[in-house]
Amino acid sequence: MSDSAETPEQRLARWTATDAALGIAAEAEQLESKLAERDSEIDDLRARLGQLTNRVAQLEAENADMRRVASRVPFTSLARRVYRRVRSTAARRLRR
Amino acid sequence: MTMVSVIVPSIGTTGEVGGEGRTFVVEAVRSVLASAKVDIEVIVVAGREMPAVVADELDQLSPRVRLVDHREAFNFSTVINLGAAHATGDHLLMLNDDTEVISPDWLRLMLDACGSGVGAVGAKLVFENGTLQHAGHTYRTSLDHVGFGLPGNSPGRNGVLTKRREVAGVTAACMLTPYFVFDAVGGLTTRLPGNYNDVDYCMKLRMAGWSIVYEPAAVLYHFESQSRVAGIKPEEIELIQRRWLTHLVDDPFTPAAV
Repeated sequence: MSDSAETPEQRLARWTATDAALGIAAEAEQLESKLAERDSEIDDLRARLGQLTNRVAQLEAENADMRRVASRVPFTSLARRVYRRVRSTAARRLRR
Repeated sequence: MTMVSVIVPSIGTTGEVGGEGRTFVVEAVRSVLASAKVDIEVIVVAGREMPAVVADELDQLSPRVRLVDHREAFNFSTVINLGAAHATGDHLLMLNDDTEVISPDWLRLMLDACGSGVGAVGAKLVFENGTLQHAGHTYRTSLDHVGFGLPGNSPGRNGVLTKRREVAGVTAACMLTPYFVFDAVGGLTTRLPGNYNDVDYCMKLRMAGWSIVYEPAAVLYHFESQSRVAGIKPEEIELIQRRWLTHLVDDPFTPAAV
C-alpha cells in the first residue's frame, strides 16, 4: 500500500536508490567471499611452498654430506689408471 | 481487508491459443477478474506500442482496471515498478499478459501461502499443451525452473511438485508479494531489464530474511514468449553472478532430482 504523501516518481526514485544500495552490498559480499577463498588458496599454497622448501633444504644437506663422503674416498692415480684400463677392456670386449 | 494490486505489463500483443486468435492482455485480465475472490485492482502498464483499441477494450472490462502509460523502451523491471508505484493494494501480484487463470481459487491460495515471514509466492504455470513451465526456481547448477517440461500433473520425486514448499525463487510471470516487502527492497532492479530480475528480487528477499513459497494449487496457463521475444544477454548473466553467485550455487531447496 503506497504512502500517499509520496508521488509515484518519488517512490520510483527511492526504490532505485534502495536497489542500488542492496546491489552494492551484495557485490561487496561476493567480493569479500571471493577474497576469502583466494586468501585460503594463498595460505594453502604457502603451506605447500614451506613443505617444498623444507624438502629442498633436506636434500641439499644430504647431498652435501654425500659430497663430503665422496671426497674422502681414496681415489688415487693408481686406482684411476686401473679403473680406466678395466673400462676400456670391457668396452673392447663388448664391441666384439 | 486484503487488497491485491495485479500489475500486468503489456504492449497489447495478439496471437493464437488453441487455434483461436486473442489479445493476450485482454484475456489475461478477463480471467483474473472472473476468478479473483478477493478485493483486487488491475493495473495494466501499457507500452507505447499498445493499440488504442486494446486500451479501450481493457478500459471497458471493469472499473477495477486502470491503465498506466509507459512510453520508454521496454524494461520489465521498470514497468513493474511503475505499476507498483501506482498501486493501492497491500499486496502486489506481478502477472505476465500471456497468462490465463486455470484454478478458480488461485489468488486466495497464493494469499494463504503468503503468511508471516514469506516475501513472495509463485504459482504453477503450464504451457498451452499442459506441460510444466514453472514450479519454482532452482539455482544450484543453473538458473532454471523446477520440473520444466514435465507433464503438468507430474508429482515429481517425493511429490515435490505437488507440495506447497519453500523454494529458492519464483518467476515474476506470476508472483505475489506484500507491498511493504517490495517497498523495502526497492522493487525489481532496473539493471536487469529482461531476464533474471525475478531471481535478483528473490535473492534480495532471501538475504533480508524472507522466504519464497511455491503454491502448486494455484495454476495458470503461461503462453510464454508469445508476447515477447526472449533472449538472455551476457551482461544479465554477469550481473546476477556478480551479485549472488555463491548464494545461487548454494541453493538449499533444490533436491537432487525432481
